[in-house]
Amino acid sequence: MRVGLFIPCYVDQFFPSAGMATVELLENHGCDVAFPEAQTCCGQPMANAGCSGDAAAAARHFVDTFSGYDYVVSPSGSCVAMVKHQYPKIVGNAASSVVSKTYEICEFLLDVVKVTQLQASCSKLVAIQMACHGTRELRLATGSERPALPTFSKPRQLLEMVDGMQLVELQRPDECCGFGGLFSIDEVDVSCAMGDDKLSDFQQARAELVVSTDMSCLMHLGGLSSRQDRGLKFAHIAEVLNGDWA
Amino acid sequence: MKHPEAAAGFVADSAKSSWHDQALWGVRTKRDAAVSAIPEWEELREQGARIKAWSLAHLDDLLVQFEAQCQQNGIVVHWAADGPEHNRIVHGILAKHRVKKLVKSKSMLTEECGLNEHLEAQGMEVIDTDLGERIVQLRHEPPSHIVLPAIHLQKEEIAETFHKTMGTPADMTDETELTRAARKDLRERFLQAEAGVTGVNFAVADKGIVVVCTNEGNADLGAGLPRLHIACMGIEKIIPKFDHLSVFTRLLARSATGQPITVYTSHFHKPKPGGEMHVVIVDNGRSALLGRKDFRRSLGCIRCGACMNTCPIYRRSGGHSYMATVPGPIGSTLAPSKDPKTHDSLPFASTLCGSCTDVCPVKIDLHQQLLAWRGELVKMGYGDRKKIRSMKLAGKVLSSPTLYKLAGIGARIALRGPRFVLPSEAKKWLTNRDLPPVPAESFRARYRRHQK
Amino acid sequence: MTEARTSILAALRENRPKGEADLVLEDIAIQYEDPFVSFSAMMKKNGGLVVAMDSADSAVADFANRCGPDGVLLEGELAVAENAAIWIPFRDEAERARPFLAETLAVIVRRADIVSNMAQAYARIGTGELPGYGVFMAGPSKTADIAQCLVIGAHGPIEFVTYLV
Repeated sequence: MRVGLFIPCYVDQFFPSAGMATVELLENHGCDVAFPEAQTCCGQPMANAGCSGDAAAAARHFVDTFSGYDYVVSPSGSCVAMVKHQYPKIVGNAASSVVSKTYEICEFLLDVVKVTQLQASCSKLVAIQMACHGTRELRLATGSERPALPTFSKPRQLLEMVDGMQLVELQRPDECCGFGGLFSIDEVDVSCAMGDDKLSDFQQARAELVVSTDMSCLMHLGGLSSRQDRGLKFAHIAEVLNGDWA
Repeated sequence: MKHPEAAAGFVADSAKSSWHDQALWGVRTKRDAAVSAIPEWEELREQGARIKAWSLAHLDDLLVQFEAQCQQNGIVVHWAADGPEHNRIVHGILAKHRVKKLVKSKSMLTEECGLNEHLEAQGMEVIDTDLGERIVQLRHEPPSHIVLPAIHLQKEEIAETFHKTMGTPADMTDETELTRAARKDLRERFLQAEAGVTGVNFAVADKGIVVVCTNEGNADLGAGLPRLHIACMGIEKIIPKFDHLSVFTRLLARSATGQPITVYTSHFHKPKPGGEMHVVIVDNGRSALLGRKDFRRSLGCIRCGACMNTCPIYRRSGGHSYMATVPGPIGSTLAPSKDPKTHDSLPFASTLCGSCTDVCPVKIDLHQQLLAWRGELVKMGYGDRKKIRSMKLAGKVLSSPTLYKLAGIGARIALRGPRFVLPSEAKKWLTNRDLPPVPAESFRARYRRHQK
Repeated sequence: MTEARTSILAALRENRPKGEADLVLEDIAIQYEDPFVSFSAMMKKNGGLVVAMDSADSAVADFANRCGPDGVLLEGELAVAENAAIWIPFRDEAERARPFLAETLAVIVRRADIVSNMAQAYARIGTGELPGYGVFMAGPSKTADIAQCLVIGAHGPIEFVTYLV
């Protein structure tokens, strides 16, 4: 099983340990991981800014870089959603060679690798920051909007395999954190108000560590928390599943 | 003014913004509880979506059938191409009956057309009778929500308005006492009114029936007491069959407020004996919207307001920050189709979190439409030109591995240096947030070592 | 034929989406084992009162005791368990507004006329002759327009009594 690893641009620069945890998790579960050096960005920033023509160049480059692998896996639900839901609109049929085989790391571990146990432990009180595109586009979990459907959560299912895992319950388990890419700049006031409310929700639940399938949410939340000295810690879910928070 | 500035004003009063957020989140929570009592909810949404899609594909035939059925029932049908024509028609009917005072129940369409202002300019007295609409009318404000028009106001503010306009005691802030005061005041006005104007929730093509849903009973009093009833509807209110009402009455109130149905679901089939009933069918840009493939599904909206209640931006920025008749996610996709220049910031007033799409009872792909609008607006030449130029540059950089690597190194160096050299975007980020500490090595570097 | 009518219909014909599949809807609506129990629970939740009576006559007698001359008593044709809505057709056309002016509104419905859901309700109503005006009523009038605080009794009745006979 040859897995092409896609690491989002900001993870490459700012959160290398999230990327490394993803590599180790996949390798420890028998995947033949390759990181194609020619990769750049999925193109989401441009697409979300309304510049889909400019996103198309990045999208075509993504397709060229990854079409030769059996699977494409990424520690970012948002980028994966971009590939699966927007590429067909932006680059048409060219996208078909990557769309069906691109996975977010949690769904890949559960649905393809069929992981049932992990060699990891964690001693912290953990809150899950359910990233929006993971929840509502990739359907990694039943969104709170759809209570008539059977409840499941892939991130939670994996976290529960971690030894000693103590998950806390939030008042608004899948409310958006307010990042939203350029939204965090364009609508800075609303963005920060949303982020502050999330931080308060984590803290009323006594969480010590906030984990997410997307570092982008955590970059925003962590930035707010650090400015306010809230004392919360943040980590990509792969780091916890890899035992980095024992 | 654009949405970010208007939103900033509302967010600045953090106590009020937070109250507004909690109040609407409470409505969302009630909606969730009502939905979980209906195991077939997702299939029901699908049915709602399918009926609306079918209706939009057959609007012309359905409207003609509706008109014929109405006429057979003795209802007079009028057609208006736009807002001004709608206002002239309504005024014409009222003038013919020498109406000086009329009562009106909630109708977003008449709000869109500016009917009140038009009639008032011709010397008529228009009283909005939905309590929330009456409150904002007394304050000379537009509604801030389509179902909860005065949700931007707290009790004390409403008490002050009632004190000034109705002479209630200044310290009377109890919601029941305030509601009773309004009931008493409006009861008189109902009895004096010479005509009643209502909106339309659903217009049933095969029977010629107009359905109006309220909780207060104001539409029934307004339509039932005076001799003259005028119902105003957009062309998209049509549904094909009487039976289809079951799907929409099951969806509407649960989505809107978490009630299993509105208190009153009123079916107007014929004028009352000795009375007259008119229906005004209005286009005002809707037929053009029908021609836009990416956006036409927004015409299926049943105006439940669920997308507003769930929208984390709406809840914190308030309805007035949208500066459009219909605010929130649905308003942000409807408004640019009418006036892209004025409303070009609305599709960007979203994190594209997708919650609106998942609560929509007729499955309008709201967040996808907002994304599509961004592309349309950029193509039309609206939006922030500076941002678009930087996106062009980013597009070039991100499609070239060499430029990308250089940019990455550049960013890492810049973020270690003094802040004044950072671009304005980074400075905006840094007003309330720190940037993550720049690690010693990028992922790429670590991965290369890992491979060895 | 007005100009607007012609232009609107022409625009709709021009712009309408093509190839929409036929509309066939499955019967999916929830069924209750005991619609009476569900109806009663839902009506209480809606803020209405449910009174079980052995006959319509005793309901009329109870109503006379309960309400002053301001009350209005109506007959409901059917009731719906999923939401406690009662279908009230106005066949006697004279007084459409009268029940909405009352402080107390009472409705008599036969227990046998409680259906599970709105799909069944509309199917049944649709087979008969439709009234000039008909209303589903599901409790006393209400509003939460003042700061989301629920107040029973907006413009319509403040009290709503259902007699199930």
